[in-house]
Amino acid sequence: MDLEARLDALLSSAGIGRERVWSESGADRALAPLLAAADHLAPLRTARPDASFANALEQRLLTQAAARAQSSRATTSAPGSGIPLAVAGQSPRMAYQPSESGGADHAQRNRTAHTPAGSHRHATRRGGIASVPLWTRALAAACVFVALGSALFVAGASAQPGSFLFRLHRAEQWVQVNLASSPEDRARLHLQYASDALASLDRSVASRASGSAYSDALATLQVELGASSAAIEVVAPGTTHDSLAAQLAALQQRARGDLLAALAARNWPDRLATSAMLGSLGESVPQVTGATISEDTGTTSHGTRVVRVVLSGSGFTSGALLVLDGHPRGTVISVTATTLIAEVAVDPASLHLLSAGIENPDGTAAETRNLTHTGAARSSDTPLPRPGATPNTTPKATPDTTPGAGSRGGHGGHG
Amino acid sequence: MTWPPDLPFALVFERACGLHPASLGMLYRRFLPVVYRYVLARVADVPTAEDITSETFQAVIDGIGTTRARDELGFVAWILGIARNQVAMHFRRLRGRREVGGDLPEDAHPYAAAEAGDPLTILTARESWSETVTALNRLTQDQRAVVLYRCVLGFSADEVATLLEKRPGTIRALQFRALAALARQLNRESDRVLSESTRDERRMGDGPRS
Repeated sequence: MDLEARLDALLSSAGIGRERVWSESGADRALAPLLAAADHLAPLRTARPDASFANALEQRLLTQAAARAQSSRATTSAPGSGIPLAVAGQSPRMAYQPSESGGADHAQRNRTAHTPAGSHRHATRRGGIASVPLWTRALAAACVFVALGSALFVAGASAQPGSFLFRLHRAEQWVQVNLASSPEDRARLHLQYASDALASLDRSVASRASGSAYSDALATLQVELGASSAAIEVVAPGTTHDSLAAQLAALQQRARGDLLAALAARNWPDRLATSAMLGSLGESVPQVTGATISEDTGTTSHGTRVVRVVLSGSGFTSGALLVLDGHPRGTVISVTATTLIAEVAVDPASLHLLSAGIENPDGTAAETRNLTHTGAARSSDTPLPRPGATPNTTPKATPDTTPGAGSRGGHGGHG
Repeated sequence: MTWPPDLPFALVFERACGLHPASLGMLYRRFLPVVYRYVLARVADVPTAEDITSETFQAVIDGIGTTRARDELGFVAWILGIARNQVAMHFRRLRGRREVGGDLPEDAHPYAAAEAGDPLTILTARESWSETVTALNRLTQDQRAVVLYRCVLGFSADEVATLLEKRPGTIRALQFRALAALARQLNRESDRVLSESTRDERRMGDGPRS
């Protein structure tokens, strides 16, 4: 093996938590200075951005994306709904009207010239419609369209998250925001929408609604709180700015309380999303940065294997549970603020875990899908193949030691 | 990087191109450390790294609907290309104001918080880190890219080859020369810092006699 290939092999053998495997051969000694230079970069491999910076940037980006999405929807039909926006003011059928360069007689001559034999009756009917002036047809179509659109908007105004008309309702809200005459009015609208979203979320919790009602309300709340914050930032300093900022702070405080109360009744995916939202609101929530599964702990008398799971992260509290693939499992041996150790009896044939996470006693939760398997049976730290995994098609995992990179859940306790 | 089987990168990326908030959030959380570490290795100053990281992701949001990336490596290449351009613009702004790759500001903390609280560690680490970034910035663009992608971001040689549109053999050769050059630069930096500190000690020893 030449020096270049040997260097590459040595670089590949080292990683987070792994010692470089090298010998005292002449080649390895010659490569020592180069490896030392690479080791100078070691601190960067685990560098993490500050949690408050990461959270604030995420909020700004989501607000930016929401604004772009609404802007693009304003000029096209709502995707997937087939319902054009009322403000477009254009019937889609008009786009397919044949261009008319003359009066009705000219149009009729053009049409009958292309009418196949045997479709005389159809041509007569079309000729009948064509006798009505174009502007009259356009006006009638527009009136029907506006009436239809108004009816839909009336229905959409009361549409709840999780319903089909909710998207129309959000489009209407965007229209109102963009028609607002001042930054203060825009901020007030966003605060109102955030408050409405929180109320919808509370209703879905109270009614134990299934489906996407809760997640839609949570997503809307997140977007509107971010939009409110961004809108208030551009309001000139003064009494109005202070009042709007105080309203936002109060709403955020209410949201924290309501989301904490909602946790217990939610399923695992909702709990993860809610914890992430609480983290962005400044609550202390757990974060899982890595999970190590050791398979050489032993076997039980029933032949199942006992594995040890070690979760690393932050924000863990006493009484936390280990959660594997969304279900509490195993026995927790010890838990500190940054480490949870548990033992789990598993069937070796089914050891294809997708995620490992934690649930604190207050219901906040986090998980990671970056699982490292270790054990006497394997010669390298290669994760077990998961169903559907395709090796060599994705970059090597960068150890996820930053908010959410392979980790879902709160951003709190980071850094 | 691994993605759950029921939520592969392709699906997340497709939804993110439509500005789906949850999908954008997933991409952000997954690639924030990649961009941040790359930028921090170039500027060595945490506030500046945060600014450039922000600008990078804002450009990602603006352009994700039109990117030609079709798979995860293509997306990584695209996003790191944006980061590289943002860093280049930063250095252009700095040119003429101060030496590129200069010393860390007093309040820079390049390490994870786990090392905070030990002043000697922080101080020692900061001085050596400044040398490392200076040495990195003296490599050629290709050498620096290979070193950062390979040794900081953890990509394999084959993946770096795809990212940089070169052959894997070329990457291995480039990585060998790059690390050799980096080792030489670091030795020069160490010698320079050592001679400066020796000069300072001599100056202090020659102070006014009572």
